[in-house]
Amino acid sequence: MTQLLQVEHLSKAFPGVQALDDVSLVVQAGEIHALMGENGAGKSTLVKILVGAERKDQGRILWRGQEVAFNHPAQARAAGIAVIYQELALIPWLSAAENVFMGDLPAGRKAGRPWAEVDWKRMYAQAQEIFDRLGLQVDPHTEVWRLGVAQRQLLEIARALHRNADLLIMDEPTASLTERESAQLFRILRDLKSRGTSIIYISHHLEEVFALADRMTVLRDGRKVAETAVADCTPDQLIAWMVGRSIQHRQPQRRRAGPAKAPDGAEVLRVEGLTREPAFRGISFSLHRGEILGIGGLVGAGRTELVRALFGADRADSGRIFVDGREVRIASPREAIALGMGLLTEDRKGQGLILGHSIEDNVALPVLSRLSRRGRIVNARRSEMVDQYIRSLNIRTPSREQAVGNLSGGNQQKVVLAKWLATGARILIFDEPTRGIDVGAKEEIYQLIEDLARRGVAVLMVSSELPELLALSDRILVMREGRLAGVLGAAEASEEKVMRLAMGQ
Amino acid sequence: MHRRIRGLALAVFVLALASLLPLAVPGSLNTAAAPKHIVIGFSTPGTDHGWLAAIQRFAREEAQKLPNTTLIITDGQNNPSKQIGDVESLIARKVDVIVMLPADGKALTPVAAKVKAAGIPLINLDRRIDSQDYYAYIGGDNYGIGYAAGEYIAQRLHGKGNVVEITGPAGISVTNDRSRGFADAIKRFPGIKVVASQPGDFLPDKGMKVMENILQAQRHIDAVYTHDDDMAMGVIQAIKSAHREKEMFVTGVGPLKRVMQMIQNGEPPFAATFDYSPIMSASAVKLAYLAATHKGMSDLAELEIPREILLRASCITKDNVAQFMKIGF
Amino acid sequence: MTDSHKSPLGTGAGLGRTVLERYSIALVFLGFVVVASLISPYFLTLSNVQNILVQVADVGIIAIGQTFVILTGGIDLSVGSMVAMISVLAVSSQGYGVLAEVAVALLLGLAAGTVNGLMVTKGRVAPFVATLAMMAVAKGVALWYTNGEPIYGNNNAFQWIGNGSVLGIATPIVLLVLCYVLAQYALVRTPMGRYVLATGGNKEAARLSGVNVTFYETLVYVLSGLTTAIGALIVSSRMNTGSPIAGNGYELDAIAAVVIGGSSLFGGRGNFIGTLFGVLILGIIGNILNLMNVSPYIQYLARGIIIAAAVLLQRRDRQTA
Repeated sequence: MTQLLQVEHLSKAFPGVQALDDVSLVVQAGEIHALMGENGAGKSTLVKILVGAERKDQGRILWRGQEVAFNHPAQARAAGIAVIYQELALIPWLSAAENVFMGDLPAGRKAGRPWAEVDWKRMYAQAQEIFDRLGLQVDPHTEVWRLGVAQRQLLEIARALHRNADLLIMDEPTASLTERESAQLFRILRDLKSRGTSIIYISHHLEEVFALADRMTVLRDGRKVAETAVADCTPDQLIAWMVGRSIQHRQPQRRRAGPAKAPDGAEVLRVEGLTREPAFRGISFSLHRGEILGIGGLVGAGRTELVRALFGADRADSGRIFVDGREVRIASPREAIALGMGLLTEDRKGQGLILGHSIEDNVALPVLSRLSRRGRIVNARRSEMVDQYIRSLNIRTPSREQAVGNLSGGNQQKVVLAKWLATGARILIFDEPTRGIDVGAKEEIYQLIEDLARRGVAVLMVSSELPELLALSDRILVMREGRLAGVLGAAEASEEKVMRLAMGQ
Repeated sequence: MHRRIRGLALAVFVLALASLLPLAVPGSLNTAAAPKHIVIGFSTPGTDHGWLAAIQRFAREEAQKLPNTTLIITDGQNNPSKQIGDVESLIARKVDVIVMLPADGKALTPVAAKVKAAGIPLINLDRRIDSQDYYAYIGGDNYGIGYAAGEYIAQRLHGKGNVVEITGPAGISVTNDRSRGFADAIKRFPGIKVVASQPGDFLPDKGMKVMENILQAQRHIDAVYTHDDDMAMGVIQAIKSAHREKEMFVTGVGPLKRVMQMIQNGEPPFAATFDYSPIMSASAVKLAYLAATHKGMSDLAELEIPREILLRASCITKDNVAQFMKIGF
Repeated sequence: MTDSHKSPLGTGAGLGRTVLERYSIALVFLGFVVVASLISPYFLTLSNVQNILVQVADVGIIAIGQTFVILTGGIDLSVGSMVAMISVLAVSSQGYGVLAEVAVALLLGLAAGTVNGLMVTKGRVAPFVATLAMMAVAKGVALWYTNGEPIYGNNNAFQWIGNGSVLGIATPIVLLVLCYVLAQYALVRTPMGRYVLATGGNKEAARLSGVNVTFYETLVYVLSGLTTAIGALIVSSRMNTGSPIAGNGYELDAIAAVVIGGSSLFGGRGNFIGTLFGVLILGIIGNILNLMNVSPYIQYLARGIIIAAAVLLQRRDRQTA
């Protein structure tokens, strides 16, 4: 066996985070190499650096024994490294074959000239050949929008094969596949392996990894904690590697330790059997005054979809919602706000804020009618209110007229928070409250969330960061594949238990 | 909710299509046994303008007066390729004669050859096609209009004065010919000065605004030559608002009935308009009838109708306006 | 630093200072005035200034509705044809008196605007397409109803709208100023204005903040229909004619004015003071070209270059401010 890819002492820092810290790994020719680690362990940063989408700070990458430094994914692709993305980069209105050959359409007459004609016959014949080899039962003439997710994924693989890729990188390829489709994919991957293609396989599904991979590398907090043959490892061992935390400067202190008592506040929100196919189904829980209820789970478990439906941003298929014991129907965010709810979205820039508008405009938006007298906005009242939040939340900005697009992530999050505090929300839903926020600001956000809870606000918090989830939550709901996998009290919860529930072990 | 909207939209769509049906197959299957039935096909470029609407109206009225005659009018909706299709379907229907007023003379030249090849006589109305494939041509004299207007204005001003010209859209042949004729006529009168020549695009609102601006810059104007009566209505509105209707007089091209009334009543500033009447379509239909029945013009000695008829650009003033009333639109 | 640092609107600062600091378009406008008055002695006369203001009143008021639409990231191509439709139908109802004419115009404008708005929001048709359809429909109604021939007015009271005056100021100017004051006030000082801006700035964020984005997105098209009706009344009254070819090209002038005025075609940024300056700049261009008797062949060229220059000058200014 030859070493196809060698990564040596790779490091990469983002502001406030050491994303990769002295990581080395080796991928042999013709092996399936699993890359493991919880959310944020550094897997995607590693992949991005490999294909040239990010620059490395330190270290070396050797590809077939030669040192390489790709500046752009196109260079990596030309060298034989292909990433099969979750969000598939296909052109829906063109045929399957055209997508495979896009950028490299076989020319017929006048080949090489700008006005060369496409040799359609040859293209479809070659596409059919590749499809046969992959066992992809798709007519090459079919337009891509007619294909299912699984077929599109195989089409991506076909494209990579056509380009003579020697290394495929697959990130959660089975996330949206049925069991049968997954089985077909595995068969194809094994077949490719037997022909000498290597695969880096990223997945949260332990059973898949144990069934498919030859070797694995485990990352945690940007460091490599293990590199081993799969045969020499057990699922328990793997989970321990993934969550076992050493000294961690960014780990918040456990704040709310104590026995798993019944929360003392009154119940403000109860959810029964909430369902929105295919994202989540049959979710029931209750939330109390002054409680912080964490929602854990892997990316794609349906947590964001759950809180969006709760807030009326998307419609639920079925289920009942009670606020203060009274059953309510929430068909739009406006109705949720009227009931005293607020949602701090995961995607602050896309959904939480109007980036080009000022802090003042953003904060005041939901309460403008309250700040108006006879249809006219009272500017003094608006400015006073906004200034007060800038002070009390410690938003660092030269003035309330600053466009929020120019603020740091932490300050942007505070602006969103100010917006909801202004509405007088009693139920606040945080979706990934500290995503993209640096360490110092994180601490501030934690403080704010705790203060809110202490003042009686009921907090629902989706988080993929286990330390954050464990440190803040009174109880933790764990979701797995759209279902409630379990509930953990603050005392009994540990990173390992959350991970086991989340991964179904 | 959405389904209902979609259903409604579908219903509206179907109704709209249905409303087009009478246009698509006018007088179809009209195969009366009577002596000899004449079917005249008339391809018009569209109806976006009063003049073109009147073209259709006069043609229809004339056809009603003719014995055993059916007139089929097609509407090109200002789209030359639609009009080409119109003419092709008239050929396919085997009409006896075709009158065509092209949206664009050049664009409709090839289809004129097809008409000829099918053995159907073609009467080319107003805008000329670019070949000899017509049986007869009849149209107005744009150059003559400009020339007549120039002479009228120069004579009325005794060869001395400031004149403003408000033209049609820049770059079309109608505008060019009307401007050129005018310029050639006043060349002979060195005392006549064109102080401004600006486009009003045949639009009344644009004509009004352009004239308002010119009135600001020109402290003394004796006459305004406009290329179109409809647009001139906007021009005189601007002059009236500035209370300068006694200072100058206006001429147009039409004749619009409304304008002729003003001329008849002696309402300043409208003094004269020039004949480019859409009634020429009635003559074209009549010529088509004669062509289809192989007749000549009754007062002429020839066996067939003349090949070219260029209409006189008559000057319509208070003195003769009464007799022109019936060709107004 | 760019002005995206600042709120898109002045709130509170003195008008004069605000105009000069925040609306670089004002400087461009002043430049135009200086150049125009240098090249034509007739330009800066009281009567010509009045003349320009009256002339831009129709397109100017229509540009208000267009600005509202563009603030949400939409576009309304139907305004020009709607002027024609409203013009003929309003004047044809002159037998019932001037109030009937005004009522017909306003109701038609509101109705057509509502259809546009619902097509965009409930029908999920792209604004470009929805209003393109309305453009054809309105033009069709105008031509079909009149057979392509104008309807001449015989109602003196109706003429007051376009040719009368209030306290010595021409009525169209009064209407123009009134509409702009109201629009700017609504944008800066009322929740409705902020909701429109928020909808254009980030529709999803606005929705999640509880803004009824469907309502406000519909509303802007209704407002555009309303201002188009007012513009149609002014132009019809000034000509004392219901003309099926009135308003030709107004949509492009209105959109050009909004863009020259600094509003973003992507929505969320812009204001009415900018649009007003855009309208005035376009009016000055037309005026000076006529005053100078520039050849019609060069006029298109000159117009295009001047519009491009106005937008570029503003950009430059914004970056160095």
